[in-house]
Order: sequence, then C-alpha cells, then structure tokens
Amino acid sequence: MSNTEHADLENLLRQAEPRPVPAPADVAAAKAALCDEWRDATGQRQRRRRLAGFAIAATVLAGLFAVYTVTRAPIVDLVEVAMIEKSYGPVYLLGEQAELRSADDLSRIVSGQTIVTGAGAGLALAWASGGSVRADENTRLRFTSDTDVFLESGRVYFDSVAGNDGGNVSRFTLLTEHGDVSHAGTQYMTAVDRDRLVVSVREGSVTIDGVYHEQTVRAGQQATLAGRQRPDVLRISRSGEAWDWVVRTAPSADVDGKTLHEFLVWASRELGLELHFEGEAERVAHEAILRGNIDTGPEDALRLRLASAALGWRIEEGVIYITD
Amino acid sequence: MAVRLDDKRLVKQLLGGDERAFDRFFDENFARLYRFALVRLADDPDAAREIAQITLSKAVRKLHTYKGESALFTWLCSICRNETSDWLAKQGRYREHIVLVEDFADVRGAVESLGTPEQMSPDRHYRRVELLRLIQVALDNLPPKYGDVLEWKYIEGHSIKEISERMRIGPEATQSLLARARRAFAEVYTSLTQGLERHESELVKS
Repeated sequence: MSNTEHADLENLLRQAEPRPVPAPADVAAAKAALCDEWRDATGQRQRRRRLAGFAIAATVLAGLFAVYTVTRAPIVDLVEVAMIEKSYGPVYLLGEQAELRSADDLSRIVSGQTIVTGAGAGLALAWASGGSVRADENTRLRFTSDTDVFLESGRVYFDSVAGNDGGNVSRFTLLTEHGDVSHAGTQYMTAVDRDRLVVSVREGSVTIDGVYHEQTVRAGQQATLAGRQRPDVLRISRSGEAWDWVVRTAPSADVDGKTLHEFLVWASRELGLELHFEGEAERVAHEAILRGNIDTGPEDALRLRLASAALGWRIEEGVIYITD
Repeated sequence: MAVRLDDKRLVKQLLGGDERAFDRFFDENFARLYRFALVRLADDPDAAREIAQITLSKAVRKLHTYKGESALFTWLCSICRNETSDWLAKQGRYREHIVLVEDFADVRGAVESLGTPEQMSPDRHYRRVELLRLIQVALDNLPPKYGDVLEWKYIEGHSIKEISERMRIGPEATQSLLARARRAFAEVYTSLTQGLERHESELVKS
C-alpha cells in the first residue's frame, strides 16, 4: 500500500461514525442468558458423548462376553466393589439371561453385577473404598465399577463416613439417567424414577451433574431434577419418616471395646440427629467401655446401651439429648 | 485461512465448556450481529438486539455443525439473516425487507475470501451516506481485533499508546496490527464498493 493510498484510507475511515452498539445493560443481560443456554447445550453434548462412550463400552463388553462364552476363559478381571453387611426381604442378582436369581448366598459384589431388591426388602453394603451404601425396596442397582454405581430405579442412601474407619476418601458416584450425583464427604439419599431425580442431603454436600442442569445440594436440602425444568430445592428435615428405611437397613455397629461416646456418635448419625450431652453424661460416655455387639437397629441399640450405662435420653426437634 | 483455523479452535473450546472461549465468542460477535440485524430491520434497536440474541442462542445449540468452511462470523450472519427474515415475516413486514450490497452473493464471497490485499480504489463519487455505512459494514466483516483497532485509531482518534494499553500489547505490535488491519479493510471495502457499482449498473441497464 503506497503512502497516498494509506492517506486515502485514513481519510476515508475518519469520515465514518463509530459503529452503533447496544446498551451495556442489554449486552450484560443477553450475555448472562446466552451463557446459561451455552452451558446447557455443552452439558447435553458432553452427556451425549458420555452415553456414546457407554454404548461403545457396552458393545465392547458384549463382544468380550461372546468370546468368553465360546472359550470359557476369563477375559476381564472382576473387581470386588462391595460387601453385603445386611439384607432382609427378597434380594436378587440379575442373571446373564436377565433372570432374577436369589442373592441369599451372596456376600460380595463384583463389578458388572446388578442387584434388585423386591417389595419389603432392604440392603446395606460396605463400599470397598469406604462408606456405606443402602438400597431401599424396589430398587435396581448396577455396579459398573469400584467407583460408580448406576441407579436404574428406586432409592439409595450413601454415607461416606459409616464403616470408614481408615479415614479413606470414599470414591463413589451414583449415576442415573437424569444425571450423576457426586459427594464431598456426606450422607445423602437419592431416589430415581422415570421422570425425576430427587437428592436429599443430611450432611456435607453433593453435586449433581444433570443432563440439563448442574446443582449443588447442601445439608438439610432436597433437590428435584425433572427434565429441562430448573432444579427445585427445598429445605428438609434430616430425620423422620422419609429416612426410616435408611435406619431399618443400617447394619449393626461393631462397638466391642469402644467407648459409649463412639457408639452414640454412630447412632446419632444413623438416626440423622444432632448429639447433645447434659450434665455429666458426656464424661460418663467417654469413660464407659462397651463389651460385645447387639444385632439390632440404631434406635434399639441406643435404648439398650444407655440403659446399661444408667444414662437417660430424649429426642426433641432433631436433637438427641443424653442426660445423667 | 488462519482466521478459520482460529474460529475452529474457538468452537472446539466452546464445545469443551471453556468459559474464556465463551466470553470471547460473545464479546466478538454480539455487537456485530446487532449491527448486522439493525440495518436489515430499519434501525429498530430492540428488534436488532432480540435477533442478535436469538442468533447466538441458535448458534450455541448447533456449534457442533460448524466445520470451518466459512468464517465463524459469516456462519453466524447466515443464521442472523434467516432469523431477520423470519422476524420480518412474523411482523407482516415483507415489504420492508431490505436488500443490502453486502447481501449479494458475489460480494459476500469476496468479503469472505480475505486474501492478499489489492490496491484500494474507492469510488470517490459515491453517495456519502452509503459510503459511511459501508465503512461500518467492512469493519464488522474484519477479524474483530482489526475492526476495533481501526475504529479506535481513525474514527475515535485514540493514540497508539492508548490503543496499546487497551489491547495490552506493545506499541510496535499495535503498529503492526494496524498495518494488517488497514490492508484487510482495504480489500473488504473494495469488494463492497465494487459489488455495489456492478449491481447499480445492472439496475440501470435493466
């Protein structure tokens, strides 16, 4: 470009007006709205990609299974993901031909297995990397790996602390068709049906990576995700009727040789109650050493243990008071 | 071609959920689409804002279909053009449909194919209003940095130092950017004015 042309160009540009721009407030509003849509859109895409990944993985596994059935040689190392601590009512293992087989003799669960609980049933599992998984009646759970469980339908409760004596960080993500639920040290319940995902948190927090929305749920909150609708978050009680099935499925605690205080901490967590001592009760609880185990639920065990330690108790508005 | 590679990279980052990529995507395109719609909607700012937003909304939902065959802004303009037509149809304003020189296929092609700059030959007798408008159209059809730096320097009268600070680059890099921007502008502007001349002469003949 010659100097003349350069000067012409500059003169030309100098004649122009600045380009019109929308009002800054309008720009900010448009950007915020678009950002939400973009997050939804990319979330969906990532979900589709993940589902495609699952589909490919399923195809590969089906191929491996076909080879296995022909050669009868083990192809894949199965990983033990959980141990059954307690079960009642009809509990089934889904067979290779999609038939239901009784799981009465089952003590350990390996990756790839699907567990189905019937009407009136309940199941408590010690998760391999720490924590307790509970399944309510009419629940179908597929154990995809030692970190992930796919909840097809029903209700599941997870407590990252219960049975986690080693202080491990429990690696546990609950996958559902509506989104994935990850915890950050917590007690939470997840219920799934065809239309919605409901996550209730007692302690800590969980993150839901939903198909359409992401949502963090904190202690005392319940989030419901239903399709494209914005997540509905409510305040809930950490104890009461909605949690009764969790208490019913709680495995008995191994407290032989531990203090009464340790037992009370366990029982109050299982019941979703805050623990409060009055008078000399806390000192007594620290000094009392328990002998043997009682094979009952947390509430009955609490009554029996406190009676033998000559301590009283009452429950008021989500708090258990231990009295001397 | 470098522009499209950059566009493809930006789209890939957007699909990966990169927040900074989203900021860049919005900041570079919203105001340009607003102006693109504004002139086609008889200077109705509310409608233009709505169309720009609808365009970007549709674009983010079909980003995976962008293959880099045209510049990202051109791709957005094609969506915006359809949205504008739909909007006018819904408003019962078919008769107000505005045909602009930059909408002619051959001019669009010339503007789109940013290559080696040729000599600028602006028609000095052109109507002033149209000429000024085409300057804005040309600026919007440049890579966003080029359009901004030319506007700041020659239309708003900022110094190299001020532009350097605004761009967070050194004065020499700013000078270099301005030189590239001028060459690109010359080519786009020439394409626009030549296209307009050609179509006007065809109209006179017919």
